[in-house]
Amino acid sequence: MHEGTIIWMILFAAFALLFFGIAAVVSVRGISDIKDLLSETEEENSHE
Amino acid sequence: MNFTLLDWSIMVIYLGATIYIGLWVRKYVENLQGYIVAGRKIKVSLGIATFTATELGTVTFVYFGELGYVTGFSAFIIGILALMAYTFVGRTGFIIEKLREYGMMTIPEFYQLRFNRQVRIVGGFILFLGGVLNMGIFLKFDGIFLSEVMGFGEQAVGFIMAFMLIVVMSYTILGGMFSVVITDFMQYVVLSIAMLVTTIFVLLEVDLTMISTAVETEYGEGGFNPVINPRFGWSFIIWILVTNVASASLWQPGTSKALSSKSPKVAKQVFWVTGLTFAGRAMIPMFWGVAALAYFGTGESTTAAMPRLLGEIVPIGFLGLLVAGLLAASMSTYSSYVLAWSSVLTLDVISSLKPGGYSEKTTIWITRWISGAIGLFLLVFGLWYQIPETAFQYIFITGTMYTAGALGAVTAGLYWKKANSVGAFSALVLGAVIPLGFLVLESYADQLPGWLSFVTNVNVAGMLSFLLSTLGMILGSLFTQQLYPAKTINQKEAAHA
Repeated sequence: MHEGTIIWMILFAAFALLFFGIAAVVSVRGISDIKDLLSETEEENSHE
Repeated sequence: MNFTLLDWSIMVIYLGATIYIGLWVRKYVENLQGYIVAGRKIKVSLGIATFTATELGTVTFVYFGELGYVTGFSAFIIGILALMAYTFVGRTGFIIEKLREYGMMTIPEFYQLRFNRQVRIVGGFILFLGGVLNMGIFLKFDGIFLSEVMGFGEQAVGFIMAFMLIVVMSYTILGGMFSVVITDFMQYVVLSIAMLVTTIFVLLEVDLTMISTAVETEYGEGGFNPVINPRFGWSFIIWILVTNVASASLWQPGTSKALSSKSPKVAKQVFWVTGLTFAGRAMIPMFWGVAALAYFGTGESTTAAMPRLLGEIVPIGFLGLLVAGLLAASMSTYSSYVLAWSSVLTLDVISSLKPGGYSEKTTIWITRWISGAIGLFLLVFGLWYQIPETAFQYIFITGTMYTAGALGAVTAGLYWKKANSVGAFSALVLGAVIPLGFLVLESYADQLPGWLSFVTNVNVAGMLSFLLSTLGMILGSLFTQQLYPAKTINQKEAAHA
């Protein structure tokens, strides 16, 4: 196998893992962010 | 036809859920700030999801996949350049932190704060033009991708895409940024799962040794080294790096996510973490494209090869998930882009032309109508326009039309005391001229005199627009200091912007 393939595939693996790792964390934490966004907005709108 | 009842069911359930949620959250929109920037309440994780989803459309998969197919592993350098640019903006807060501090909703709004109303109108119009042209080919490429993956003819898929556009327009027009960020989040989750599953199938079905041999046979060393690849080279690398810094800080659909953040600190965090994902965002579809090269050889249509590969190797059920992911990618991109460009035209051009502007209610009403008009334009433009060279180059040159001038105008406006309205005006116009020349003249490259041929070289045209814009800002400002003294930012005016 060409050594260029090995280098690029190592980088690909590292960055793909980073992409999917961040996606996993954000998918879980994002739900509470949505809850906060909607509840804060609802509260603010009811005061106006 | 690759699509089965199970795949259809997954896709229909997904579309139904998106429409329901997108329309349901419209009740939270009560004023202009809520409509354009979701009341500036977006926290880090939601910000990352919406930002990534915005910057990952089906068209992104098409142009990155195409680059992998036509240049081999060399294309991967683009992912690394994007990572460098976006993490730089995230770490330093370059431009975005100040714009968020000043409470801007759109970038041209800053031109009025720092220069004058005329610069805002011109800047807003160029941003709108570059942005809508940039978006003009999305639907066409989505059609190509989906027709290959699903195994339909392009006409049937054109109908599906038109339907999808209507769905997106309906919730974007009604719910503004609230609908955009919440549907973006759903779309981000579905898209990430679809990308993971597809990558696993590509790795299982296409042998790495076969990929390596195909790249070496077809492209030689240029398939591994971007500096010697004839499509790239140093001028391309520098241009893409500069464009990425400009896009990261100044591309309204992305920057609007910083401007919607809860604070300047949150805006920086969103850009920093999202930046870390940008190498993967580019390399994953590029890898699928390189795999298509190994699987089919070079005889395929460059845009269709990668989606055709996915249509062949992704099994029933997972194909429905992949298409749902692709629709998710397109919908999140369309919604953010349409909202961004309609906001710019409404706030920075139409409202700025009327002394005193319009009421919030009328402004939202105008934004909604412009969003509808942009949707109509996308359908018409996508059908007849012939794309020059590769899709990637079209996307970057139309982006440069605006970002080249904006980088000069906003950077100097924020960090150089002598920057004045003449410099800003020159930067914006000079930054747009060469990319516009490229788009018009590229089809007539053979008939042009030799001295003008540089305009039809996309890498040279891209670099030149940044250089001219910088020169325009520096010389324009220095030569007119006495007639047009530089304006300083009024903090009170910024607070009330």
